[in-house]
Parts: sequence; C-alpha cells; structure tokens
Amino acid sequence: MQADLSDERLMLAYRAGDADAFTTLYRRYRGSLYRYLAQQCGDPAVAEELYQEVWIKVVKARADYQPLARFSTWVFRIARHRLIDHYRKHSPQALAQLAPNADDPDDVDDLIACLPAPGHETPHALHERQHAAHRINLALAALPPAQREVFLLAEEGGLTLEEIAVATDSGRETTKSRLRYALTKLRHSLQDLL
Amino acid sequence: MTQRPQDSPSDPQLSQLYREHATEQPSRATDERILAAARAALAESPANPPRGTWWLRWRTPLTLATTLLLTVTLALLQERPPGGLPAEPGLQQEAPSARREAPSRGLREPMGSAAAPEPARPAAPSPPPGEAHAKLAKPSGSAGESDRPSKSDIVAEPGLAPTPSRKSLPAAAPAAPVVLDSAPSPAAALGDSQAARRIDSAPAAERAASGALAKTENGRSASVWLDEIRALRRDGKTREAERQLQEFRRANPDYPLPEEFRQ
Repeated sequence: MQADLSDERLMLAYRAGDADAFTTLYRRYRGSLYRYLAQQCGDPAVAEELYQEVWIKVVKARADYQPLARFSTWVFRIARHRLIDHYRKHSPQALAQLAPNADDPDDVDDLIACLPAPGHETPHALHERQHAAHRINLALAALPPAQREVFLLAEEGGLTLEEIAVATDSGRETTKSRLRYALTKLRHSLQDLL
Repeated sequence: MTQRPQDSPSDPQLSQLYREHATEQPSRATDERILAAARAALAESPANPPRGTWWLRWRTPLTLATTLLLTVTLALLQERPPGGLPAEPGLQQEAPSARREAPSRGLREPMGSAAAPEPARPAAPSPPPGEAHAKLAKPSGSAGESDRPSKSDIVAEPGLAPTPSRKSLPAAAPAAPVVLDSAPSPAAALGDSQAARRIDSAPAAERAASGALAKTENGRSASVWLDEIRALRRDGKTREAERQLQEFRRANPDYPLPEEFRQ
C-alpha cells in the first residue's frame, strides 16, 4: 500500500508517526543518495558517515517538513549542504570548486582544464581495467565537482534542470551547461564501453 | 524518475551504462542504524511536535476559557445594581435622621402653630397629599426641589395603582411603592413609636432598613390618614378627629395640610 504513495506522502506519514513510511522512503533513496555522496566525496567510509548524517537530519527535520518541493529535491539538497560542510572542514579546494564563482559556464571550461584527474586515474590509463563500474567511477571522479554534482543529481536523484538549479543555488542555464559538459566528458571517457 | 524537458541535455546510452554499473550501496549496519534512529525519534516524538501544534491543540480550550472568564466577570459586574447599592445606603442614612428630626420638630413647635396656615404657601395650590409623601420617599433632594412636583412624585403617590412607568425609576425608587403598599392604614403610622422601638433593638443594618420603612409608612399613610380624619369629621367625631389631626401633625410636621385642616 505504501509503495504506491509518493515520497512526499510518505514523509508526511512519517511526520505523523508512521515508521513504516520512513522505511519505504529510505529504501527508495538508499542507493541513489549513497552513490551521490560516495561519488562526490570519493571515500566510501566518509560517504557512509555523511549518508548517515543526512538521514538523521531528515529524521530530525520531519517536524518542519512541508511538501513545498519534491522530496528528492529536498533530501539531495540536505545531502549537498552536508557535503559542503564536509568540504569546508576537510577539503577547502573542493569547496572552492562548488563555490558560486564556478557557476559561470565560461569558468567551467577553465575549471575542467585546471582539474585533470591524476595520471594513474585517467580513463586512458585505466582502459584496461575490466570492471566497467570502476571505470565509471573514475570517469565521474575526473569530472569537476560542479559537473559531477549536476550529473549525479540528474541520474541518481532524478531531478530536473530546474530542481537541480534550486538544489545547487545556481541558474537553470548554468545547470544545463554543467550537465552538458559532464555528459560530454563522460561519453568521451567511457566511449569504449558505450 | 522525472520526464526531462526537451532542452535538457541527455545521453540515454550513458545513463543506461551508469545505471547498470552504479551498484554501490550503504552497508546493512548503516541501514539498521538509520532505521533505528528514525523509529527512536518517533518514540520520543511527543517531545518534538510540529511547530504550532501546541497552539493548535490548546487554541479552542483557551479561547473558550477566556470567553467564559470575560462573560462571568461582566455578568458579575452587571449584576451589581448600578445606582441601587449606592442609593440605598443614602436612603438608610437619611431615614433615621428624618425620623429623629420629625419628633424634635413636633416638640419644638406648639400644637397651635402646627394647625396655623403657613405664610409662604397660601397662594400656591396645595399639592395632593401623596405628593409630599413621595417627596419623603425620595432618597435625596433639597427642600426647593421637593416643592416642585415631578413625574416620580406622581408615580410614587400612594393610592394610585402601580403604573408601568415605575419600572423606569431608579433602583431605589421602586422600593418605596412596594413598601407603601404594605402599610395601607393609619394604624400603621400610629404604631411608629413601636416601630422606633423595634428599630432601636434591631441590629444596625436592620435598623437602617427599618428606618426607611418607617418613613415610607409615614408617607404612605398620610393621605389615608387624612381621609380617616375627614371621615371622623363627617361622622361628627370632632374630638377624635382633632386628636388624630394633632397626632398627624406631630408625625408629619412638614406635610402641607389641605385647606380644610388649616384652622
């Protein structure tokens, strides 16, 4: 029965005291939210920690939850803010790459040029690896954080351009540009797998 | 999950490849911890209700309680007679003093002078006997005012049937007609001394009330009393009529006697 309910309904049901509603909702976003964090921070252990913190934040924020936007937008926004907090503490460089001055599409190209993946992790150096998933992970890791973020929000969160723009506090065109760059770069990196 | 708009960049092949290989999952332990935390939060949920719940829950009872409190307060304030309570003490204070004054005047004035016509009033038409009694029944008022007949005087006139206009009188005013009705005969007025004795032996509060009663009895009985004296005269009982008249003058020294009694 609860499987038919929307994410927002489930969250409201949980707010009203239905624990099963939360379980259903959790299962829906279990993988996607984790992968978003894991791909963004690059460390499975840290990703698990952040992942747990995000869900605890969801639990604590249930009283104030209002279905003003899609649940996915809300929860990925929480995840993004938690990620920014993590960057602020541990990786100011990565934070700078998520900063608003990187929102300009013109700057994104420069950012891509400035942030090459380490030599041993470039798609060319790893093309012999058998495991496609690992190749994909590495391709994602090679993306600038802003582009990777947009790609993950679109793929894992299923967010639209507008929703991604809201979640990342950026303009729609900027988001669109980032997604286009991300897809182009990934296609280029993973061409042999496609 | 969501249908992407036409202008949204997309690469279905890449998306499919990504989804086929994106299989990372959080550990079971993490899942358990999160779900347990979610359940635990619900268990202690009453301490963390949604914002505004307290007000929503208590709004109606608080509103009702406030309304009830205001209503009761206003009702209690309204129940207190606006002019009645302040007027009654005045009446009570005036009554004994009037009673004290009445006998003393009677003693000071010789009997003969009481029967003599007053020099200032002969030209003026003599007011009806009840009017003067109504004046006496008034809680306060100067002597000058008492010379002018007013609507309340007419209403308070004994012998007249109660009129609806009585209801419009101040709170103290209706008391007079009610008490007056209970003293229809001159015998009641003659028993004033007995009433005074009763008053002396009564407690202070009761005494004040009795004073007001005696005064009104006096006032009420005056016209009836005079009628009785007239009847005695008609019947030829002159001595008895004279005695009653003297008694009347002693009890009501300020009462303007009709012409027939001014001899």
